Amino acid sequence: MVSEGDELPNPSTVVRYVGFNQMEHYGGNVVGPLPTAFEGRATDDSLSVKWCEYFVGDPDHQLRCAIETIRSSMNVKAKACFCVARTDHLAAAGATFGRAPKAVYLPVHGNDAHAGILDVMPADLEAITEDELKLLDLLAGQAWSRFLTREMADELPLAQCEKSPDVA
Amino acid sequence: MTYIDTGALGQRTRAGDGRSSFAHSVVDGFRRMISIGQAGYLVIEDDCTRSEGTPRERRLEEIQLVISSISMHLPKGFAVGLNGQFANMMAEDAWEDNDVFPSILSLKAFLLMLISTHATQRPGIGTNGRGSITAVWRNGENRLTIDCLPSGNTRWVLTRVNANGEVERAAAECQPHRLSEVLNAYGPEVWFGQ
Repeated sequence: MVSEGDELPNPSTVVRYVGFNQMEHYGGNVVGPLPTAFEGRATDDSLSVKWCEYFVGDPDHQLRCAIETIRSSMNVKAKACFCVARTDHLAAAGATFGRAPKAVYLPVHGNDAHAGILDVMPADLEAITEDELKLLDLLAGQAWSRFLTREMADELPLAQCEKSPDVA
Repeated sequence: MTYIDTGALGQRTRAGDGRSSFAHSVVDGFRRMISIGQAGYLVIEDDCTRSEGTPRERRLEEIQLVISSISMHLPKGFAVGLNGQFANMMAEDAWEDNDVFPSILSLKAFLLMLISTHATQRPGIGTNGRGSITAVWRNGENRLTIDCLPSGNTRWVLTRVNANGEVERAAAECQPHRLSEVLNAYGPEVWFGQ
């Protein structure tokens, strides 16, 4: 049973909203996220994500539900993308540079599938170190390289989204 | 008019500081539109015929105007292509409402970077959401990302597969006119072309 503040089961799948202006694109062809997509904000303690296994169902259905929670909680732009990662891949990328990324369940009001990735963001966004730049690049190029456009997300199966019985 | 706090930009960008003539041409292009105002502020002369539109549209227009003004120093077709890319990135259905617009100083760093590196391939562009302009080149597994910052500096990171098939990663922060020299060790022609 996963409760607020607990580490997510490993591996888990997480999805992050990434604006079009932080996706590498050539014309209308999106290639993948830019490293800047995972810098986070100075006001955040963790990288904000949605936890797919919060929902019951097969992986595609869980992913669609996580994306729908994003869509219902913020102004999602038409060209924005949804980047997907596994928590074990995030941990492996972080370990390469002496970090220990940890995905923690952090539900917020109206956003019950919310989670945060700790120890993965740069310590100071105005003075990002060389190792932090390399980590961001590795995250963008590998751990977070899977993404869905709006059209791809709409093709995922959509049914009723129900909370997993494994979540408190 | 738009006022931007730049500190001592005017002094730092004058001729005779050891930078290339190309870099000076870029700065001259900016000076056609930008003058140093009181208390270290830049004054950008807006086009009087275009006072309407949203702040996002006006910033896009400023960016496109600057790019067009130095188009003769870029490879053929670059300016038109870049203007299209910025229009694409800053379109209403693409631009994130909470993001800071690319700053004019970031744009200056971006253009100096393009000229300094002699890039003949246009980069993909993006932003860090805090006023930067991000340029990215990809060739197979080789990727170069250069974030042109509102400070006028660049912050870059690369992944490069060397001749032995080993993956090398490098990153640093430097002034845009230094990029060509700094990146030379990594065979940058794989991104910039010949």
